[in-house]
Amino acid sequence: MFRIYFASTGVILLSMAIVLSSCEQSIDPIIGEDRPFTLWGYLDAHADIQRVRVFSIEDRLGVDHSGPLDAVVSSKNLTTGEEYKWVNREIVYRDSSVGHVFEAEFRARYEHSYRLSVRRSDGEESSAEVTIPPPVEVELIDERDRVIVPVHIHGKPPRLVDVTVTYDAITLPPANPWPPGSTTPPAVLLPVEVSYSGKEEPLEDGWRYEINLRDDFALVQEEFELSCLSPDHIALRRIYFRFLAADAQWAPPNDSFDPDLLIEPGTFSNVENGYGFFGGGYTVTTAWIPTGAILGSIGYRTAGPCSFGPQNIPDCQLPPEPCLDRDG
Amino acid sequence: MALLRRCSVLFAIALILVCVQPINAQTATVRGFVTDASDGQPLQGVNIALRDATGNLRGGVANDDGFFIVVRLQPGRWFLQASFIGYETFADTLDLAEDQVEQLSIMLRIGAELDAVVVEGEREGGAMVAAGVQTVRPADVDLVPTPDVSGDLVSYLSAMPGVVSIGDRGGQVFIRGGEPSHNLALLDGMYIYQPFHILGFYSAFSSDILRNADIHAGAFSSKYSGRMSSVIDVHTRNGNLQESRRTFSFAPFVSMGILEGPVKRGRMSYLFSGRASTIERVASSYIDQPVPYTFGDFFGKVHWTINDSHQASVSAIHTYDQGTLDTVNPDSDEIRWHNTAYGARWLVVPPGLPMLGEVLFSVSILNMERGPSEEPDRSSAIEGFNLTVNLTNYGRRTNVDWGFYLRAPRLDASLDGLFQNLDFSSDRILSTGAYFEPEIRFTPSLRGRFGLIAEFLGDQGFHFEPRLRVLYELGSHRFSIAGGLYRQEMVGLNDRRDATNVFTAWTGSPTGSLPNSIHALLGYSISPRPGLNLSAELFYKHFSNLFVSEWTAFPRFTTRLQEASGRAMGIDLRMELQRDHFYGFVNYGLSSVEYNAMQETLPVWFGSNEVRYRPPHDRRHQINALLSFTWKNIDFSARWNFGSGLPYSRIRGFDGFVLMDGPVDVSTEPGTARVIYDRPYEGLLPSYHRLDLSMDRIFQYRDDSFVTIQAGVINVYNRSNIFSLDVFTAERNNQLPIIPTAGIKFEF
Repeated sequence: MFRIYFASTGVILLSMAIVLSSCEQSIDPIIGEDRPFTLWGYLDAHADIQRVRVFSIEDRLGVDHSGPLDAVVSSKNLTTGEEYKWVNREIVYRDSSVGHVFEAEFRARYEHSYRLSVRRSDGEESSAEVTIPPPVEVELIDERDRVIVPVHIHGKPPRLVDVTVTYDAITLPPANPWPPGSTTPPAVLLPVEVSYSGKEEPLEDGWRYEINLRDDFALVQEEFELSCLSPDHIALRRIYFRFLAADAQWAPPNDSFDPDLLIEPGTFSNVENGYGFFGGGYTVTTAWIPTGAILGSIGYRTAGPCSFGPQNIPDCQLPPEPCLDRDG
Repeated sequence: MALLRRCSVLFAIALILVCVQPINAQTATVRGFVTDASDGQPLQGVNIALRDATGNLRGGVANDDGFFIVVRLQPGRWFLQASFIGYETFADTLDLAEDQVEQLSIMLRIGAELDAVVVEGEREGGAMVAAGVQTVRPADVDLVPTPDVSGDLVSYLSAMPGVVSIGDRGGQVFIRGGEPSHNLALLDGMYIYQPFHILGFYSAFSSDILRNADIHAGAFSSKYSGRMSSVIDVHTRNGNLQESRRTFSFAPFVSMGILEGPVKRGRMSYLFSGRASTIERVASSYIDQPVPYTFGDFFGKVHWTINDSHQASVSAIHTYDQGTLDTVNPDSDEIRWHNTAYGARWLVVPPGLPMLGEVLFSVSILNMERGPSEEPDRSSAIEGFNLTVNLTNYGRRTNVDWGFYLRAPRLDASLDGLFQNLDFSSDRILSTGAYFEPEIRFTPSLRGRFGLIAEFLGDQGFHFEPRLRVLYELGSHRFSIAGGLYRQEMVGLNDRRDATNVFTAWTGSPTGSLPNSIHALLGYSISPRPGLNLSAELFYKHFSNLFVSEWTAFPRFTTRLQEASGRAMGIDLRMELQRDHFYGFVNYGLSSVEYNAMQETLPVWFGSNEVRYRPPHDRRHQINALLSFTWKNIDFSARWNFGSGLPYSRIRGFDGFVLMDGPVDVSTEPGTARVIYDRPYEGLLPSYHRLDLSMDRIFQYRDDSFVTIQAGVINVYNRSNIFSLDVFTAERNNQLPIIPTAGIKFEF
């Protein structure tokens, strides 16, 4: 009995081993992608040069690489039939990566539709269609004399993206520092951006915003403190109201530009047979300076803190204590 | 307060049940310990049979401390027999008076077993699994070929169906779908948080110090708490009580030494062992692959038999591991860990009560680091104590296990931002609880255990964990059902996107919800003829509140955690054959593990709130075959292991990502690299299989001195089994190639 068990089990083991050892498997973790390109960019109705970043989808990791890209980029105005050939420009970015940005010299027209095509030599093509939004007119109501400034945007672009108010704020150094002869610290300009995206109210012919300078001043002070600058002596040079009037497709899921969400291929994309996003729009900027009285009532300063003569004000005792040491 | 009241009532009932037995007992009791006369080791499984003049037969089986008890014997004359395979049967005549508690100390001598009377079979072996529990003894472990003269418990574990290891390095063992951090590993009651060495052939449990190990693959009893998948309960042997012994072994992978002997002959013994890896110095010279691994362990134990009713032991262990798992990239991070644990155990048989008590106190420490030793990138530490009291009250039909515990591990971790949405802070988790588990023998062939744990976990409040185990024997057939609710207060976080990353950070639950699981299993086993055992066991585990790495297309090393649930189900089939000079088993494990991840972004990505996927340890098919026989005094062993491929996430391609959150100028904004992943874990790595052979012979050169010479081959047909795959570069890390080994062991 023993011999039978031994022999049979041994034979089974050995034959399984021989059979299985002869079929060693190789493995390729990259299964390939049929879509040829990923496109990023937008047609700008206020720019004379249009740009699109083109990635060919490859089987090796790397943002991009130098050398020719097997891509021909063209665009067609679907309203007028005009066609443009785009030119490849190899760009070395600040992080030393290389990118292929295609450019074309033309200005996109309001309310015209365009089709951008990127074709590979084997005929595979990725494309996107965009419609440039209509022009808008921005109306500021009593902007110099109000703490809460109403803004009306006339004309109705489908989407307003990246709506921001930028405060060109600056530290106000002491006019005559104490003790006399000590170095005057430099004035530091710190533009502070406050997002107003999502705060719009619809109007019959557009959109309405209310810019609250007093609430925003608290954010400006916070930003100065984070930058180790005194929040007590801030002057304001100018206020900018800026937004991107965008086409209807410029709408991320959940209305949020969360990179961890949008990184997933196909999540925020209007590219056919490819990935990425190619939009249409233009940037609108309006600027104003409130009156001194309004600025003073908000908390902005117009004069430095020190005068000739000793004062028991910390900011007048130079050099100022470093911010990080104060915190620590 | 309501919970507190409920708990009080529960324990009042428990105490009444427990205390009522001695009051009503107007009968005699026989109890004691059985040991091996040659070295004083307790003998587990010894059959104790008592027969009176009328032919009434009563009896019991010695537990792993050698303790036995037979209660409620009618006063009068009883003939006692203690029998065990390989030992001379012990016989005695007892005249028992009313209420007498006869305390015996039985020493069995090695020799032929005579006229054994089997009262209650404690069946053993690779196929005899009862409700998820398998008891493994050193002799079982030594059958599995390893590159060493002595065996190691992990080699046997990896030959069990349902046990998955990612590869032959890393020290990660998954048991029936549970992750390594869901397994409870105990050594003489001490928590060992990372029990497996960096090289997969070794663990902290060398067969040379092993008395036995109970492997609970699931549905374990109320005695165990704090983990939600499985239990590896290892008991070490005592030192030799009769004579001093020394053991030294030398092999290309590991060398080892053991010193043991009596401190006070027959009463107190010591056992010290140490193992140190030699692979990086010896085996590396002929292995065609880098093997940058250093590991070892030291163990010490002093055991004292105070008197017939009291035993005490003090144990301590220290393990260390260091190495780099990615052998393709020489710059990859090194990982290091060490366990330190020390503890004491007091075993008491209270006079006059049909009861056995055990008090355990231990302190366990784990430190794990990844990165340069002078400035590690990541570190994790656990330091905590455990006080447990286990008691068993014995009745004629009902034994009651009950006890209580207090644990307070302090957890500390620094992960260099690995999990971006998690703030680690030093945290001590206090858990205290009590359990109550009567075992009722309804009929001679039907018995059930019905357990309940009541646990208090600080801010988490009270939790209850019901458990159930039922065994039914019908002739040679044995059926079992078991199940229960399991919970753990600590979470081991591991970024399983990378197989070479075995770093585990221990913390409290990131969301406050405790990971928990529900187990159910159904078993059947049969011994159709002597020496042949067959068994089948169906299992199901449902896991809740798991934490897994979030999906992202950023090719970055950091990630965020997402919540997940999961389930594991399958069947284990075993066949075991034993003859005089032959032993073999074949087992097959079919299992399916599925995780169900919930992530805020999933609705956008996949169109549903959840994504179901096979986690990277879901090995569907597994076959283990072991053959061992003796020919001309040489022991031969062969083991063949097959595992189907493990899942991994494939890649469709690479491109770049630019966040178009406004009027972005693509000529100045560089963007980031992006990976276009296929659906998660839909790829399969190649299957794994390996044949290991070993042979050894023992030479006796004096009455009590032996030399063992061992030779073997690991991965006989040099299969290129994959350990890990870098999906970005397609470079693969293979497991160990063909390795001849030889070793020698001296015992004197």
